Amino acid sequence: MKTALLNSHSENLRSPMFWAVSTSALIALVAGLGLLGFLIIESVPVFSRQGLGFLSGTEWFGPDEFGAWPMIYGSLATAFLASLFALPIALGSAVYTAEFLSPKPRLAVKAAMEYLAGVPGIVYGLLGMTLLAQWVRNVFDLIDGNSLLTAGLLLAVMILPTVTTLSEDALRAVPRRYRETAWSLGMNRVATAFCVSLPMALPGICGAVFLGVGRALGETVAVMLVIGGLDRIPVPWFNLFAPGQSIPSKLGREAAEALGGGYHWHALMALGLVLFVLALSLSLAGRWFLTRQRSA
Amino acid sequence: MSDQIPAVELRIAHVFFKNHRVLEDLNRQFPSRSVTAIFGPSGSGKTTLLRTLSRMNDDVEGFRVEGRVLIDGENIYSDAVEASRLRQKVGMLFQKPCVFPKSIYQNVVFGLRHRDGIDRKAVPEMAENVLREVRLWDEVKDRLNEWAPNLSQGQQQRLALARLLILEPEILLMDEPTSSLDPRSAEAIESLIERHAKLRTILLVTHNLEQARRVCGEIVFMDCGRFLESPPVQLPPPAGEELLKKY
Repeated sequence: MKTALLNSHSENLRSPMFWAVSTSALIALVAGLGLLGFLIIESVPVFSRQGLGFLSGTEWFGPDEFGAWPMIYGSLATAFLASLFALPIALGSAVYTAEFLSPKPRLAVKAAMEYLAGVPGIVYGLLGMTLLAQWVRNVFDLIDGNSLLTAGLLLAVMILPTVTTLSEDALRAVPRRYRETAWSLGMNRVATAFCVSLPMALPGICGAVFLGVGRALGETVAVMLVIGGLDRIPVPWFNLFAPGQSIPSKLGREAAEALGGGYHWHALMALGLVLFVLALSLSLAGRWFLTRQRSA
Repeated sequence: MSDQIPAVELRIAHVFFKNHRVLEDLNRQFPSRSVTAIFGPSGSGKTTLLRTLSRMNDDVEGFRVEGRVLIDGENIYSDAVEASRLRQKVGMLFQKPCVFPKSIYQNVVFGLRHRDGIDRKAVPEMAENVLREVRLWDEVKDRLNEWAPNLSQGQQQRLALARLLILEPEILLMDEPTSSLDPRSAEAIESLIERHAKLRTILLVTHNLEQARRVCGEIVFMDCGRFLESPPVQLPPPAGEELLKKY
């Protein structure tokens, strides 16, 4: 057995295709680690001077003191709002599509969702700026429609197709025999959907939610256009009608002017590192749930 | 259920998947409280027949039924009949056991949660009774909260049968329920069929003629989507010998 494995391994080493694909995999790994390493190295001056005070600081005034908390708050608040608005609709839509639609309409809905999931953020941003921000301003009688709420709503629209289509995939991945078993016990389709399919698809749905929230956290241009661009924690802190700032929109606004070094640049890199860690945590959590579903 | 009306009746029924006719010219009555074996080669339409009787193919694209399929005198493919209501009367046991990823006990009582008029206090006793019926109680009584998918295949099939019997279906459709089971599990299921022969209408799809003879009052032959005219097999009929060689 061992000899066979060794033979098989040495056979692989002789194949040019093996080297091609293994080199590709290595490049992907090095790129990811290189990005993380670059962010860590570039952030060292900030954390060595300010320590964790960088994360809890509320003022972003150069040249020597930067605080990331308003941006962290803005990112978390908009991602939370996006999840709050998008998840019930996305999950309802996924259950309906997967469990009740016949194949042809289901494929049409899937195709539409996958198309919407691929629309660039800038397109959503322009629509948000011209339609959504105006609507929020008029409905809530605000001076300016650009706010944390507007950004959260826009992100909800943006992540809705992703969460819907991935949740639908998770539901469809539940083997048909479980549904038929439930039907054979006299359960109707609604009971089967909620008592059999949904619980069994839950790990995959959680994975879809994490991936959607990950996208919401990382979205730059669309959020930049509607969030208001104010580096402040609202007063009171839950006043979501106030303008705010997220990490990506902060980076988008200031990266060009700070490029080339200086403490300002390192502070932006440290913000990038925070975002990287947040997104990586979500991505790993999503992957963990998806893996659980596949092995179930 | 009235003894005068056949439990299951097919009147010139044809079953199609798109334009392909998979069952044709089905004309037969299955009397109440009887056990009938449906015997035929692979692909002869036995499973499709059972799935048609329980409306399992309703959402399969292109599936349609022509003619009349009657359960207790009511055409089950009429608009007035809800599939879930029908299946409360007509239970189906599949060839491959399918248990939910839950505990053994939760599996047994799974269907009861969706039935009206169940005395919740009586449920544990009902669960014990059906587990005894399928001869699983002694094997699982000390581990009812354990994960059902960890049971052996034979135990899972008996658990699936217990989960069905607790709902007391009037008609039981069994699709080769013992085909891949250990002798102990197969014997437990055969014995249960014999005991229930006077209580329910049972249609048993099987490839095992000896089993059909042991437990069934009548054997119906199918081939190429049709019922074959043959007498009930008490002894191998002369006409049946040639047919049996095919299987």
